[in-house]
Amino acid sequence: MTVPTDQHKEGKKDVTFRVFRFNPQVDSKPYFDDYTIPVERGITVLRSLNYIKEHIDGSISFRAFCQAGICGSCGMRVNGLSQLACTTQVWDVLAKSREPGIIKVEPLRNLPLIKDLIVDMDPLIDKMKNYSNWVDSTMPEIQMGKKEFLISEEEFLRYDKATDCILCASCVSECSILRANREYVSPAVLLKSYRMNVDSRDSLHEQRLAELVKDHGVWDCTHCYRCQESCVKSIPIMDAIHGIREDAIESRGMKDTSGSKHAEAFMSDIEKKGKLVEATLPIRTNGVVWTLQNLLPMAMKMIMKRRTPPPPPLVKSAKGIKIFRVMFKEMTEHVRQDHKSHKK
Amino acid sequence: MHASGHYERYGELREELGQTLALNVGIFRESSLLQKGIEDIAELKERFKKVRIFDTSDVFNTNLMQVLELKNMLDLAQTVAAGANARQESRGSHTRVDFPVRDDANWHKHTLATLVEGNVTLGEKPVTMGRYELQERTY
Repeated sequence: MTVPTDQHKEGKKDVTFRVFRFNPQVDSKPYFDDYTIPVERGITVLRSLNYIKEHIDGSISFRAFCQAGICGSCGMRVNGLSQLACTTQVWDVLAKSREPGIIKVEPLRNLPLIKDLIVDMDPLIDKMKNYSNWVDSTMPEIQMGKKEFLISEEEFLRYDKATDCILCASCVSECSILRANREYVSPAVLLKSYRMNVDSRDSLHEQRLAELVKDHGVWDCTHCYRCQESCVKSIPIMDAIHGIREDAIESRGMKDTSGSKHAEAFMSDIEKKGKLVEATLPIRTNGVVWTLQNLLPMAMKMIMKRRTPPPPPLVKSAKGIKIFRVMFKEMTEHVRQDHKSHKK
Repeated sequence: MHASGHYERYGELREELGQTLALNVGIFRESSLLQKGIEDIAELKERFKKVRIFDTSDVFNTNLMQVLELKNMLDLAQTVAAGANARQESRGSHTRVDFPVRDDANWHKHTLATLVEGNVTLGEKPVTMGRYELQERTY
């Protein structure tokens, strides 16, 4: 092992990697190990981990393969942010490190931990199966292999970016909904679902959409945009999620999805009063039966504490509602025009 | 068991294997370099016997995987070097500086390498022709 001798040399310094350790066969709980190694400018986090594994501690475990940002194996959290170790420069991370000279490396969130930096990807794969994340061709089997199945360039551009996904699970790790509910479909699966749904060669559109509008599906997203911010391929994941929602409302109407009804109820309240009529919102979103079954105990508590929202007749219109209505009308018109131009 | 407790590290062995293959068993080859490569590989194989596995768990043991891969790499390197040394001609990317011309009379055949008790035995197999015929490479 080479020990750094010239610390003054530009572009080379000692960096401490604080690595998350957990071996389920030995450890009762996770801990961190510090490794201080000389790092040159231009070295990635993955190269540093490889160096540590080969020269200092062979037992640290992480997944990695291509080392070039193509395969998506080395997703991990570097200083708290989910990214690929192989495309993350040590120098860039150091510039933003909270503790100078220290880089914290942890496994991805929202997936079961196997060991050290390795997480179990199976839950994600299972969801991809559940939401039919593949193209089921409309071409009759007898024609397959005999002629090409072409699409227009215009159509291709609609899902070009979505096909860049390498399933590194960085978005899965950053997703705030998944953190609250592991059953949630997850951003990567929504992106793939969108990519398949807008493909004109695919025949599963209705089936896939029917699955997506159920519980834990596309309507559970809260628009926090963290998936899009953390995407290592800079894919606009939120565009895909919005795309699925618009598609769902358009081709299935308002009836079967509580999410779309929720959005519709919001819109009508805002248009009428300039604010929400909270008392009836659950009924309009999920129906009377659901509300009675799920929210009655809470409603009773609210009555006891005198915290019930006012009934609809008592909700006064917000100040400046007249000006607001004019603005609202104008915005609605803009959106409508926008949709028309998109359709072309 | 080694009384001194001396052991070898996977990382160092793999790095040295890469070095000697790049320097001596690369695209431009010649007998003396190949000989050196063969000796280096033999030495590394000897040192490999003392390699240590640091990860002793049986959950996702990437350390053990690396070491097993290195073992195969060493075997493969040995057969590649032996085959390259035996083939006294240049063909495709196998460029023997000491035999720069393709020699179809003696070498238009596959080399079959077998490892028997750590030593390479070289055999051969005729090439099935049909689609393309032999002709001089002029580009």
